[in-house]
Amino acid sequence: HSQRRMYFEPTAEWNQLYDRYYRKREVYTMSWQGKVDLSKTVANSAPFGGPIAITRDEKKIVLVKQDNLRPSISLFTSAGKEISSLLWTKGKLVGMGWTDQERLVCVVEDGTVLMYSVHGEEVGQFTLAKECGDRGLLDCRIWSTGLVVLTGDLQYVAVSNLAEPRPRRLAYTNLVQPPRSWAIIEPQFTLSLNVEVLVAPVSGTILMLDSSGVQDQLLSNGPFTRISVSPDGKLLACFSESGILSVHSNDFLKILSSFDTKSKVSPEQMVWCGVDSVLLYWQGILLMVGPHGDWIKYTYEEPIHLVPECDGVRIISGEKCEFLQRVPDVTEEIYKIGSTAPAAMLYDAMREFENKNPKADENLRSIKSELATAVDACTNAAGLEAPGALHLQKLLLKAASFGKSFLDGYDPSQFVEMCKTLRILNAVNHWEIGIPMTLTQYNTLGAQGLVDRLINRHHHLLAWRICDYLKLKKDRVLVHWACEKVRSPILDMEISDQIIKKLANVPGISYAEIASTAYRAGRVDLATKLLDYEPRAADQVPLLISMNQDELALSKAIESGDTDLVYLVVLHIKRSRLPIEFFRIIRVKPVALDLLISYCKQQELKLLKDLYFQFEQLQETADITVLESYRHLDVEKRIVGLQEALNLYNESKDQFSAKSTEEQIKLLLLQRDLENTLGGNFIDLSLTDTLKRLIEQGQSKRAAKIKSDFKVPDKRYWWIKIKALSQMKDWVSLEKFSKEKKSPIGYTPFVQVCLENNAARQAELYIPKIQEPAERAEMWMVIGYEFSS
Amino acid sequence: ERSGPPPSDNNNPPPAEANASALNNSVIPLSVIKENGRRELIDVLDSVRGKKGLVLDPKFSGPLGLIAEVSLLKEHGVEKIYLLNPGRFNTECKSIIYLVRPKVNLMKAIAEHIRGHMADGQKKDYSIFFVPRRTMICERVLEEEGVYGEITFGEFHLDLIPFDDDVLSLELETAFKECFLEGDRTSLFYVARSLMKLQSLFGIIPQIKGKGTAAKLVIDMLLRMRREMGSDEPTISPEIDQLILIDRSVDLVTPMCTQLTYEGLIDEVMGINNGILDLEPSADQKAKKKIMLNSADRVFQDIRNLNFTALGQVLNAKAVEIDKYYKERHAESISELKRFMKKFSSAQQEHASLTVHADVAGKIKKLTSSAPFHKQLEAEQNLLAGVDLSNDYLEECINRQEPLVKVLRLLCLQSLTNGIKPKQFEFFKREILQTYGFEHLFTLNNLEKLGMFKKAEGKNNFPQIRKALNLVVEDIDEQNNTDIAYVYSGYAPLSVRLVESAFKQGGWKARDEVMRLVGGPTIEETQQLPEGVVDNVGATRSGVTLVFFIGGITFTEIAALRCIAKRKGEFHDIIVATTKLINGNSLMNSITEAEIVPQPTSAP
Repeated sequence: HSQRRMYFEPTAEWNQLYDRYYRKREVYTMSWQGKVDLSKTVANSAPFGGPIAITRDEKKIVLVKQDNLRPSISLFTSAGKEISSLLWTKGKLVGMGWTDQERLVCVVEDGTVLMYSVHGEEVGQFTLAKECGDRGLLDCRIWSTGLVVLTGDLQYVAVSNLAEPRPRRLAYTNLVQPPRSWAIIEPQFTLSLNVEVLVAPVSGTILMLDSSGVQDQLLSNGPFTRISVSPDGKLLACFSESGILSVHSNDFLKILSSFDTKSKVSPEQMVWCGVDSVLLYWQGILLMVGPHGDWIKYTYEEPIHLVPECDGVRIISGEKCEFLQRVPDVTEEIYKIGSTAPAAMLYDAMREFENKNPKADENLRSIKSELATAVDACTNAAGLEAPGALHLQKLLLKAASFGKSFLDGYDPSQFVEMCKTLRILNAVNHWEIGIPMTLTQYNTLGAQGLVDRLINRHHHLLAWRICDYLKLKKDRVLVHWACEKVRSPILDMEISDQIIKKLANVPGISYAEIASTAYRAGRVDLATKLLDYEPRAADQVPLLISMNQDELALSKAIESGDTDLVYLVVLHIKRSRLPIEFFRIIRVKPVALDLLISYCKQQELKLLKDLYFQFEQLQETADITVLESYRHLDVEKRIVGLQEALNLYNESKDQFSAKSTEEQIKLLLLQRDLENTLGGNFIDLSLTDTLKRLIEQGQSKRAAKIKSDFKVPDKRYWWIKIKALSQMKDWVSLEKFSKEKKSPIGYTPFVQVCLENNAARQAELYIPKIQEPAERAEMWMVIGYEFSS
Repeated sequence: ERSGPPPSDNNNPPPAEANASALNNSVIPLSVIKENGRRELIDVLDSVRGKKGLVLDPKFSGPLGLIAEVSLLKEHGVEKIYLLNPGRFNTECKSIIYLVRPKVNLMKAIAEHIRGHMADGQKKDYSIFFVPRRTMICERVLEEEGVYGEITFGEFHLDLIPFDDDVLSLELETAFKECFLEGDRTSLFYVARSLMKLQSLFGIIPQIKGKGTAAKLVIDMLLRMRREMGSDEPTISPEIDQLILIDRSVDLVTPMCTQLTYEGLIDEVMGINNGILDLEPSADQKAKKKIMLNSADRVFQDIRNLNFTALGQVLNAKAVEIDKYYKERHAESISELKRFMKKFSSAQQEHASLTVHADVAGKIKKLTSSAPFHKQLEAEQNLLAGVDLSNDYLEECINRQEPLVKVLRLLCLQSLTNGIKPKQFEFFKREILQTYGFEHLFTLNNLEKLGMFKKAEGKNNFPQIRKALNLVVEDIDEQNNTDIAYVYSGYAPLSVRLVESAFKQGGWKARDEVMRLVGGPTIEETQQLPEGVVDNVGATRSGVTLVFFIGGITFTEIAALRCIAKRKGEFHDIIVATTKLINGNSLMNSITEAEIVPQPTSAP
């Protein structure tokens, strides 16, 4: 192996901490230089290179200047460029924090929680007043989707979903005075998937609590004045009153390291840098402590603000924004002095080649078999140079590309992807955008996450270009852009033209959100016009309802074929309008009317009756009346109902139903009489069954009378009678009946009913009476079969 | 006292893997649908921690059995399974999962349960999972019933359930009644959604055809839903080339006829529920027996679509074959013995299945060779051929108090094919009300509204349709299935003739006149494939047509469709989908109104 030669020293910005290196790199010179004084303010930043919220620190005495009289919150990019500023009038601020949507959450002493966009517009609000009572809130911690507050009576309340806040009290604490410090473990890191709170009381131990209980960790090395949870949730850094920094596993079973800072003063800020070192900040001194008790000291003359990221820490001061991180292994491998790793050799070879030095060839040869690995490593290292360090990115990519050209069949997709990603990272890192995102952060957040952040900051064009570049869906960008447009004071016509033109060639894009924004901005006509373009009825219809466009909503719901949407509108109209108006609207929409009828039949028969009455649908009204009458077990009541139905049928000229109903009333009256005189059950039997039962009970005369009263055809009557008699095995009566007169149904049925009741001998009697010879023969055959079996 | 009882054997989901092997031979991987369903069901069950009671919509428990077996439910914490009934619900389970269709009456039953528990001071966790989707209307009802706050809601998106390697069903029991009688188009929306889901799995279907109003509505929704999807649509090559939607109301004649294929007759005579035949105990069989009827049973697969008259011969041949095989067992050489053993288990299986089917066929034969059956068949055949029924026969059926569904099927057939004269119409209506009860006034109204049983008015199109579509084929050879008419011994189902003509040169466009006679809109649409997607039919696979019957399909119609597919040979496969597997009786039962009569509280 040849000796490496270094051309310049990227390692100049490195510091060694035990066996690893850290690098601190300036990302921006702050635009706010001279305007913001971090010593008199509270700062809070969103992760992933997010914005910084600054407000006056009420604990610090400020010389009263004119512009300081009115408290405000200012929002800046990571590069110190002001995005917006809002006047703060809501009371004493307990704390601020950021959600994963880059919403600023402000918690007020009285329990009010407000959420703001990066543009300082209020986007949500709720209150914890009920939970915190009269004594207000003392403190809060906010994470990507939720928050935990400490109330004046020293209890904890959690809200796990800020979008749908449902405050939940955590287990009762016995605290008698405020804890020395406390921290939260975010739900994604806990076993229960609920947030857990670590409380350091004066007694010196640590309590771990969630909604189900409090667990005393029985520590004695406190009290702890600072607690900080590592970015992966696995480790806890605790700073004790005696100046000792200890690192525990999150179950407190292990103490991983302990370091005496010799400072009884607790640090102003304490954060994790990645997952393997802790940063402590006292005025003037930033101390980095590693797991083996090693440390690095950085000095800062002016106050700084530390922003922990998943892979490092942003250090923000009045002057600059820096990024401190552990040097990635692959980078270390390339640049470490004396490294003979393949990637290092490749990097050197490229530099030698550029200098037209034949050593390049020698270097390449020495790693021939590992060239592909080396190319991969250089590609990766290039990515890990972001944010900033464009020259290093370039050199490493050049090395990768150089190596690639000596490889056959090397899959270039990783290289191409990395170049793409770097283009994006460098674009958003530009100070005007001010998002200093590392490759690791980008991979965690995802391209869509980055695009969302850009549109939130109204960088629509850049977001659109990124989507275009990565072939992502542009819907969200365009919709957001359009929403901003409808809020701007441009004329309706002009806006709708602009929007429709831009969105026309995006199939399936949703207009509902834009329309809703327009409606909330008081532009009803514009909203209606835009909403007409919405392809999804499920989004369109509810909005039309909220815009009081009921009839249009109904038409759209019907068009969609989604019956549940139709119900949504129908029930809304039913609730919000007078019945007469409701009926008028529904009447001209048969699809909706049918649905309403079907709903009424199950839920509101009364309404259905009203409706038919209103529409003068007599026959249907009668039908309902019959249905209702059947709900009565009491015959008298049922008859009253049927009588009412009968009148309606008569009025409606439905003669058949009228006649049948009349007959049914007659039958019911008769059945009631029969039950009274003969006992047994007759009600709800059909006429045929009534006759049959009478014959079975030996009431043939009565049956005969009813037969003629109800004009039962002879044929049927004969069938009823022979069935009844044969079932009772009253063969004598059957024979008698057969001789009464000539049977209107012939004599085959006699044979059949006897056979059905297993009386072949009886059946035989009737066969000779059958007129048709063929049928007679057939019956003989059947009977022969019966006998033989 | 009508609390949700533990389900009887009848209602239990059938044993494990009911139709698993039946899905293996599918032309498109229908097993994916089943797998997705199982996976989602597991998620549903796991979403409620610990032990729980599962309360099933009685209409859904059977179909659910085709997706998952009881042991799977148990593995995921289900302690007890109940069927949803109104009234009190006694259970020791602390967590209860309801798996139900989004129906108002079911919501009321659930509300009753919850209020009952609250009144007793019992605290329980309730979850309702709606199949296939959560609806506002149901939530509204629960709100009105005052129990909304007690419930966690979710969805179980199961829609099409694979019954066999070529049959899918939504199993929407009430779809026909709701859609065609009450004008409630909910099931059409579900049809469209299920087709969207199929397209997301198997690609956009390039050709869409439809006959009937319901078919048109579904196609409109389908195209609309695709627009709604915008650029999210699947970019996979189509595996289904053509969709033919048939609206049941276009052909109500066919379900009125007695099915004559083996599978169809089993359904007519004994009933097939969710692919299972419950065989009643007989002389040589003491216990009730459950028999899976699907293509996994090779004997059944060979005989299911046969006309019943051809069945005996085939069964005999099979018996001879197996017998011959058993004789082979006296093998001489080791290699012969080896070959024998290899076939042994499959032969044994076939033998067992042959015994079962010989038994089933025997039972059916008893009925089909009876005089009443012949008379009924003769009446049907006559009506189909255009010969009026004698009043005497129908009157006698009523006077004998034959089952109402049988009488109504015949009357509807008469009305649909040859028409009923006003006087006759009045007469039969009165006979029915007096014999079967006044409440059937509504049944008759329903049939009239559906156009199934009504006074003859204006011109009757059926004779012309019969001629144009060659519905009645003289001298059909029931042993040789050269024409689909074999399935009804000479009558080719109108619905399937429509499908057949869609396949013919020129499609429906070339048969303008007859399509007009049949009635209802005729739709032929071409769907643009998404950008970059190529149709690879012919190149890598044979053509596949999905035939969707909206409002139900009978086994015999499926047999006829299989006959078409078979005739097309290797080049084309047909997959059948429907809202519900039906027969004439179940269709008729769904529109009769017997339940309005209050049940007496004490036995007579």
